[in-house]
Amino acid sequence: MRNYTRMMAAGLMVLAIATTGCKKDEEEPTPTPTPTPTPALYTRLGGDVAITAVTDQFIQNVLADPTIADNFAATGADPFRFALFRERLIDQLCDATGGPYTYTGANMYDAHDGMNITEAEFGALVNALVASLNQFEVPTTEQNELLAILGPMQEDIVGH
Amino acid sequence: MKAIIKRSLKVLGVVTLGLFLTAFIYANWEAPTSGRKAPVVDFLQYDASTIGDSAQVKRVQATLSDMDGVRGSTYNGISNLLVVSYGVEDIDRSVIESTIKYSHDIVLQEKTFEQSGPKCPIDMAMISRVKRILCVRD
Repeated sequence: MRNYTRMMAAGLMVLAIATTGCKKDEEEPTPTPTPTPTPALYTRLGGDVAITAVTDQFIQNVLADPTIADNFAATGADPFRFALFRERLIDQLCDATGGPYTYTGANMYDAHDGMNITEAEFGALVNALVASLNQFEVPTTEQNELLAILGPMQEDIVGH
Repeated sequence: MKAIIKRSLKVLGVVTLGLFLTAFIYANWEAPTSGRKAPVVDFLQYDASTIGDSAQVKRVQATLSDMDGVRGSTYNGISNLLVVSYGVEDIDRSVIESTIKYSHDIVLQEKTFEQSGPKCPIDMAMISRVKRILCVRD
């Protein structure tokens, strides 16, 4: 009788463990794969080195473009100003794309105040940037993302 | 006695100057940004009409692209400009021009930017270089 009771108790325990185990398995939610966060545009573009290369190509395109080259005459005539302009442009692109640096130069409105830049000139500037991005085979997604970041600057740059 | 005072004043002056410089750098130091860390690149604008037709310009561009230190070149047929970028620490511009002369028998003519208005008499480039070395913020 005692053996029978023991056997019953052991059986019940096994059953309890088994059912608890099963229940636990059932209750455990299937792990949903967490989406890996997309790296910042800065990283996807290739960081400092790639952004510097794109900027240099952009400046090169701008200087060759008759529509906008004259706007840079005063800057180009002064090597110090030109070096600072390039430096700031790289910083601004790095900052805008989520890089580790903060752009500390003048805001776009003040920087272009009195230059009377037209929409056509702004368009030529965008084309120069796109040509530069294409030259470095930057994918369309990243190009559009960058243009979407820089696009709103138009109202601060054009027409004053 | 006079000599001791003189020496003490000298030491005090040096210490004060040292402390001032330390405080100045400490207060104005900032980590160099991407733009500051980037190697110095210069851009040259050449009048492409003196080079020849577009095929000849392409040949010149091919030579330029083979040169160490030349970052790139852009030719615009409308403005007839050939813009060349090069690393200042990697190559001298005279080497670029002499190579083109030697390879293609072409004398590149630079189109310089013309600045109207007064020019700053202070050598800002030198100040910029010092600021760059000391990592002083703008």
